[in-house]
Amino acid sequence: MSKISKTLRDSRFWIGCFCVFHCLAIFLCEFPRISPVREVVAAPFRSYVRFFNLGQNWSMFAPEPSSINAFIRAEVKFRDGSVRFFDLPRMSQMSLVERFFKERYRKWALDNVRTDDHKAVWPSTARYVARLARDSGGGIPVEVSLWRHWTLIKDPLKEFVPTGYRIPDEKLEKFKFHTQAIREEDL
Amino acid sequence: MNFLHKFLFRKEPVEGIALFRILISIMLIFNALLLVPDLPDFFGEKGVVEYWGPSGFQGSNLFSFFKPTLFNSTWILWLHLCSAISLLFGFFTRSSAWIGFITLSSLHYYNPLILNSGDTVLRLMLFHLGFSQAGKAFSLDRYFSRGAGLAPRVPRLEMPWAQRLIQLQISFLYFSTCFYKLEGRAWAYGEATYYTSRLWDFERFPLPYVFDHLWAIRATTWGSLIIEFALGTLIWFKPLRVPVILAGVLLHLGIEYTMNIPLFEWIMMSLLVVMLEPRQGRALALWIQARLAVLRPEGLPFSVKRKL
Repeated sequence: MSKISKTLRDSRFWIGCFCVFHCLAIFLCEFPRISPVREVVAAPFRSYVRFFNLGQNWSMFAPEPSSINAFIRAEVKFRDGSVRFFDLPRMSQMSLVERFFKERYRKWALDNVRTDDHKAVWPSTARYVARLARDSGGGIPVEVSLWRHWTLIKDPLKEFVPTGYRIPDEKLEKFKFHTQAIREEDL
Repeated sequence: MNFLHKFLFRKEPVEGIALFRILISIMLIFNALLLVPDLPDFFGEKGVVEYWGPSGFQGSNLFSFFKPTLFNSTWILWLHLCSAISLLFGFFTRSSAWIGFITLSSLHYYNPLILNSGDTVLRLMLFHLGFSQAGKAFSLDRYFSRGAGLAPRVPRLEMPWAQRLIQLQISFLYFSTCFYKLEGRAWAYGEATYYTSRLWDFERFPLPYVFDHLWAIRATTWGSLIIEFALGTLIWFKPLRVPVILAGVLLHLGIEYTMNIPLFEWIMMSLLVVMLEPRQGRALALWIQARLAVLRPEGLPFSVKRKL
């Protein structure tokens, strides 16, 4: 009895319990392979992971690296009927130094706004572009459309292109994926 | 059980984890400074996204208590920067790590759409540093303790359980990424670096020949996988530890040279320092300290030099 109470009073016992709990939580909640059994076992640990924002996803360039070169172009209609185009930041058109500072814009635009999984962010993107357009002195925007422009990198065994190759913008595929009316309170 | 006890609690030198603290702090400071110019775009009401985080209460989200406004994001970022500087100098080290963790985590909640894996790494490392003994060497905490006669001349050995958690986390990271990649066709067939080297937005410096020949593309693809697998597993075998870490450094330097992923590779190389055994970490830290000794200001009082 005294041995048990001594163990419970030892801080190392509790630290050890925490370490085991923490490792189990991370492993069960965040390991790539998802199975129904694991989901059940992981359930009690999820609140801990969520509460402390310990979520993690290490699928960097995986399971497949991206095979698409793309950018997003916004078509802005102004109150006076004129139309102008604005590209969301394109790393490929920036200097090395600019790219270093602006990489997060690529993450936002190409990894998130571009995909259908992030439809929810399209309205705020349109509003952001409208404000940029107004600030650039174009007038009052009344409508913003977002266009994807892209080209696929083909399988190297079928078509091996050298590094540094480029395709002009006008030869890229394009698709209008969102149109939104802009109200005054959006600006 | 005995092994686990030894692994977590056998007292070890703290200089290695202190060196890791310094490296991670430098990364945190750069990371915060990179966010400053674009703060209104990323964390403002009129930015690229409106608040994207969950609305309920989260333990590490200050936006559970404060409205997601540019004003609040701004002071949270500046508080984060201050905590990173404080962590760098080892001033109230654990508190600084916790403040850094909560502020960074809050910003991550605000706008997760601009985050890359480097951000996740920094957040997780702050969480773990909050438990660690990273302030017991090369720190102002130690300097003041020495001044008060509470710390010995040479830093005491301490239980490394927090460092072990960091090591396990890093292993998990590499093992997971390797696992994800093995599920993909391009990695299995050795073609992944063909695609990554043709992504226009990631281009940095050219690497002649390598990415223009299929055999070299396969070598770099499979080589990356092998190194990542080793960093997740073989690194735990003592004789392989240093070679695996060196291979990891080479891998990250290679990616840093060829691809534009700001800070990420430097963050990952910082992680590899903490993968050394605590005694190896101390040897590295003392070696660096000796190299830097020539830079130490001569005007510094002797007592200051001695206490650090």
